[in-house]
Amino acid sequence: MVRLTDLSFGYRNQPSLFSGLNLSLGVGHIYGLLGKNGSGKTTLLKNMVGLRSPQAGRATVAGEDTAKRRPNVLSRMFFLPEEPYVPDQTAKVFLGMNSTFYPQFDRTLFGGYLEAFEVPEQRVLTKLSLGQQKKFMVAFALACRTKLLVMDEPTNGLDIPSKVQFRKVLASAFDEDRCIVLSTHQVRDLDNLIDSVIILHGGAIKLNAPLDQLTSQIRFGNVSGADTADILYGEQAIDGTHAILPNPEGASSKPNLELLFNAVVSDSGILLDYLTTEGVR
Amino acid sequence: MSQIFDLNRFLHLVGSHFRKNLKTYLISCVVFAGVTIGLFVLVVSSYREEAIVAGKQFFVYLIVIYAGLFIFTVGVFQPFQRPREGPFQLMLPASGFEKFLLGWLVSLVGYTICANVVFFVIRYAVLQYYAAQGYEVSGFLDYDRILFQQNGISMAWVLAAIYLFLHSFALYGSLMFRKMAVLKTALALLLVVLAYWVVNGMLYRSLFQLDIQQTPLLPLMPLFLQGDGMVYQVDIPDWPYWLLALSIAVMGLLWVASYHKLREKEG
Repeated sequence: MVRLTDLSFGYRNQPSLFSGLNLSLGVGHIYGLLGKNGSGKTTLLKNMVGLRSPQAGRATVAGEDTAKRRPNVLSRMFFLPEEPYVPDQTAKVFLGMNSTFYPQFDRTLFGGYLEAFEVPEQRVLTKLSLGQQKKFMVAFALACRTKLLVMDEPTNGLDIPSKVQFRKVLASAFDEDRCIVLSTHQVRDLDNLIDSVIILHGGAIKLNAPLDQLTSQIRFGNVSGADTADILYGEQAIDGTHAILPNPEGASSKPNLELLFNAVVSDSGILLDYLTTEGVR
Repeated sequence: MSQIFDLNRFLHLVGSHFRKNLKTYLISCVVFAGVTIGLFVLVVSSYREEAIVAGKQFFVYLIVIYAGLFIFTVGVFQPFQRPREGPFQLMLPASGFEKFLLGWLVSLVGYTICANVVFFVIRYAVLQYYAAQGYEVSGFLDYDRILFQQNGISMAWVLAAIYLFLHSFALYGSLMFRKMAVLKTALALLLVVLAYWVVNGMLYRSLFQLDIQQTPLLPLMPLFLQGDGMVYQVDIPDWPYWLLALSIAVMGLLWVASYHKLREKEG
């Protein structure tokens, strides 16, 4: 679905952000793009959807160059920025203006999403709170039913109940024909939502793997002081060491995204070396 | 479905544009009408004579129509420059050509029609008012000093050339400047005109050993030289048409540059 090939990008008068970056994303997955503040997540997403043109290499969606922004490509994807735009109009007028550009747009689904998010449909959009504006645009983005949906920091600005609701709505909107990419620096927000993780660090994709494949090779758990020999990565906590361990038995464990992220971006390369050896990366 | 131009998609874009901007356009028309009335009153009251000759009307026409064109056109692509709205507009599933064409049509054709209709309606009302007050009023097209020169060449061509150049320059400014676009574009225009005058004046002085009465305002316009108690006029036959041709070439380049600027715009 999405392919970045030897992609290089940097802003004018600034050091290069990415150099020779490769990434391939398929349909039927919800990807979580994780990275520190300023790591280039937003820029990567903008390169992906064609809002930024790579200095070298290509970004394609379904084989078509996104930088050309052809209408047939644009109608198959939706990009929701961290601070989305809403016009000074009601939802009805907004839909009348924009939904016609998305052939798969579903008005019924849109109404359902708004109801789930508790966003009033009659009010002028700019009069809504920022969180409600964001939820409105998330509902619109989902109702467009584009093959590719890219959301940059979708949970920023949402209160706790809204984050829970966001996860539920997104999970219900997902199907095997869609590819959803969510970026965040708050990894806990994507818990129980994503099925694949991409970690961007130091201008490179350090990890791009499905969570089930990861958990078949590594295990997340707490270990006490005596059993730390096998640890691939660990962090001291009050209740022991939160650790990532090899998983030769294939025991199931709930992935700890925060721990995984910290392990990947840490200077220690033990985990990444292990995953490379196991053929996960 | 064509990826460059599709009529259905373009009509969707037009519909979407007017649903979003109609209120703003209506308010703009009211403001335009108000400014026109104000300028008419100012011009009429600044003369002691109780007559509104065609020249005064033409003066008001030029000020409001040209200034309005510049301000309106600079604003036409500003949504693409706004940090939040820009990415949304760029990602809207229509081609870059369709988005450009819409802005071009609205700012040139749409504005010209609306502004002229509003101007002539207001002019009619203002003249009716002053005629009732006992003023002598003239027809608009009686101003032959501007419209027709003695040699019969229509100055309307020159005015049309300036109008189109102003549009193309403003359209480029709309895509060039993110903030304070009207001011920055106006400043850029001023600098271009000043630079032209200075360079052209230096060029003429190096070519002729006579006093130049006035550096021509625009390229290809007649040059008046003074020396030995004589005034000489140097001009190209049919120069207004050459000027129009040059303007078309320059504004064509600016329009094409604006289109590419929009197509390559990043969000």
